[in-house]
Amino acid sequence: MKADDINKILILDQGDPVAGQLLTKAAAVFGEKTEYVVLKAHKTHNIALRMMEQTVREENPELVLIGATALGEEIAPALGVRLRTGVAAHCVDIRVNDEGRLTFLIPAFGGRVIGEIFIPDAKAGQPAIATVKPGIFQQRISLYDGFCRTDIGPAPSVRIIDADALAADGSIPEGSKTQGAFRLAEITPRQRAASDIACAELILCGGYGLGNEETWHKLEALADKLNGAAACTRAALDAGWGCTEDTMIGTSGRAVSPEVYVGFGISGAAHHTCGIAGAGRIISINTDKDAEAFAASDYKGVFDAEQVIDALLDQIK
Amino acid sequence: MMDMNILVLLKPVPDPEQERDIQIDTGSGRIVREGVKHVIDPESRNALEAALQLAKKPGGEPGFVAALAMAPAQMKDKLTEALAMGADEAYLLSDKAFGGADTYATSYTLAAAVRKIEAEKELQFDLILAGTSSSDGGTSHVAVQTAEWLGRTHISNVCSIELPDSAAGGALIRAVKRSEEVMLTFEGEGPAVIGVTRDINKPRLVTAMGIIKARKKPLTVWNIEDLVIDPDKAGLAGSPTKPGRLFKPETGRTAKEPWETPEEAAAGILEIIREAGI
Ligand SMILES: Cc1cc2nc3c(=O)[nH]c(=O)nc-3n(C[C@H](O)[C@H](O)[C@H](O)COP(=O)(O)OP(=O)(O)OC[C@H]3O[C@@H](n4cnc5c(N)ncnc54)[C@H](O)[C@@H]3O)c2cc1C
Ligand SMILES: Cc1cc2nc3c(=O)[nH]c(=O)nc-3n(C[C@H](O)[C@H](O)[C@H](O)COP(=O)(O)OP(=O)(O)OC[C@H]3O[C@@H](n4cnc5c(N)ncnc54)[C@H](O)[C@@H]3O)c2cc1C
Repeated sequence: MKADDINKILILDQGDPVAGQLLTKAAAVFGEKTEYVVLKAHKTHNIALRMMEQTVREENPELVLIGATALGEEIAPALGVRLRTGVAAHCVDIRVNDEGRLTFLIPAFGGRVIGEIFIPDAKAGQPAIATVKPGIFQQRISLYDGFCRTDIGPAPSVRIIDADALAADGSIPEGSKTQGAFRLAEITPRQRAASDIACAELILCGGYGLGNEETWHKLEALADKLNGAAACTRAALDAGWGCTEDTMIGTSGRAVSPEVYVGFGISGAAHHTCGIAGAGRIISINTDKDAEAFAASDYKGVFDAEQVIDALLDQIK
Repeated sequence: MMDMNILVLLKPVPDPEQERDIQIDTGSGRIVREGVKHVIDPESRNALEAALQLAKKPGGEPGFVAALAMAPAQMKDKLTEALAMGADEAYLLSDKAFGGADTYATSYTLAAAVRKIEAEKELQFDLILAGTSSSDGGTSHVAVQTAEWLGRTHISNVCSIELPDSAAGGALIRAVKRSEEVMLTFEGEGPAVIGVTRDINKPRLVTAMGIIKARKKPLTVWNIEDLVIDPDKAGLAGSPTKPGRLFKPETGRTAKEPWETPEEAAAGILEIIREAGI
């Protein structure tokens, strides 16, 4: 499909910043000649899926954008089969190539390889569908108040269809407590980190090279003092030092774009570094002078992580 | 206790430990797979372990566990490994015509095989278990899309599956799904397709006894003619997404090394943080 063929874009708003990120990106790529429709259907599976299917049939968009959250990752591929069309998964970019074709850049092998994906036969009502992880695109347009970044640029005119499945008090109405033939029996909150890494301007990330729980806690304390957030790699999470999963960055964790990211004791596997591609400055501290992490950094230091953390704590006293 | 029938979708993938060395052939623009060791996709292995634990509870009626893969013929040994871990039967879908399939064509073909296995065995699988996300493609589509083709319930990102009333003969399945903010507990009866995550269990190792037993277990290979499918929906031809160029990502960053001591590094880091206005 040519980018010029895209007259209408439908975005699913699941009640998190990702819809604003998708709209920001779409507006930058497709500009004002395209119509933007946002379906607000917060957080319940059966309703969001059914409403998306119905809205595509009524609105006939050529492109559908969905955040790759735990919910979005179920809605998008299901929609693809129902509408008999292709789904581009976890785009790290959406572009128009030299021939004017709509091009999705998709990571594989945990981000070690990027592939171009086209959905050539997509058309109105049988749209190209793409998912994007939260945090991959920056948000410069906010749909509503309350997300981390506020209105920065001029927003394109957006039509919002309110199909909110949540009741006014935020509770889930009885009729939507299902997924397929299964019933939602219980909802329990997850253990959350003290600060949210998605909105943080400074992230201090700890890897397995921190070596022990004590150093991890030092890193957390340092992040706190610097008004930043502490994050971790999968190896650090698995080490059981008390890092929480919602602060893990990478393919199976989150994507972040802070102004400054400092990594301590991180080898730099693509699984991790693909989650920080959008960061402003990247600094890496690693005792191995050949660490792969350095190839993805603006500044490097071949030092012991704990010594640098101690020096930082010392200097901000 | 009820005996469960479970099918596991099992994907052979290049060894994730060797991904660092992954090469792109500059001529064809494809990933070089020759000489690369292949293994069972990690989350597929978790799915198989979950199936074995659910269907083969000690003391209960042993259920039936089958493994299904769509992969080139040389990946047959990965199914033998699944049999050695404890699966009862294995099916390999292998045909040039299946090559280059995106997730739409992959799931369409897998769903056709599910129907054929169910017809031949005269059963319906209570559960189809898969990984949520494979280590190579990693789209997280296949479990969901296979369910859609079969018209069954799907739940992904599942970190726990229990059968709360199986001792009383009940068929209730309880699955806990992890989402960003909450854990969602779903209950229902099969059939359903569930995508599991890596923390659901620790897969068992293959034993020598398992390998001996695996030799006697059936491993069936089917090609496109064995399945009731529309050939226009299989393989690259049947894929609505088409691949273009493949490349290794460029970070566009070149690391400066301005500091001589940890103290200098600390001062430099604070300076950069200050410059960024934080
Ligand atoms: C399917 C899949 C998905 C994955 N998803 C993710 C993901 O989302 N996020 C993620 O992070 N990982 C993920 N991984 C894991 C990833 O491949 C790496 O194994 C992981 O990122 C490594 O973490 P690490 O750098 O902390 O540890 P290691 O690789 O063990 O590196 C530790 C580093 O610390 C250095 N070091 C040692 N001692 C010191 C010291 N005293 N001071 C300073 N440096 C020191 C070492 O030189 C080394 O470079 C995934 C893997 C798979 C297979
Ligand atoms: C660079 C690149 C980008 C790609 N982008 C896209 C894209 O955007 N959209 C798209 O539709 N396709 C895409 N593909 C193709 C896709 O990766 C393949 O169709 C792949 O064979 C199946 O998808 P997956 O590995 O992503 O599966 P996932 O959905 O991540 O796998 C989840 C689980 O499904 C099961 N499973 C998956 N494949 C099989 C199988 N062959 N046999 C048995 N069980 C299986 C396993 O249990 C696995 O753990 C891309 C491929 C590459 C190399």
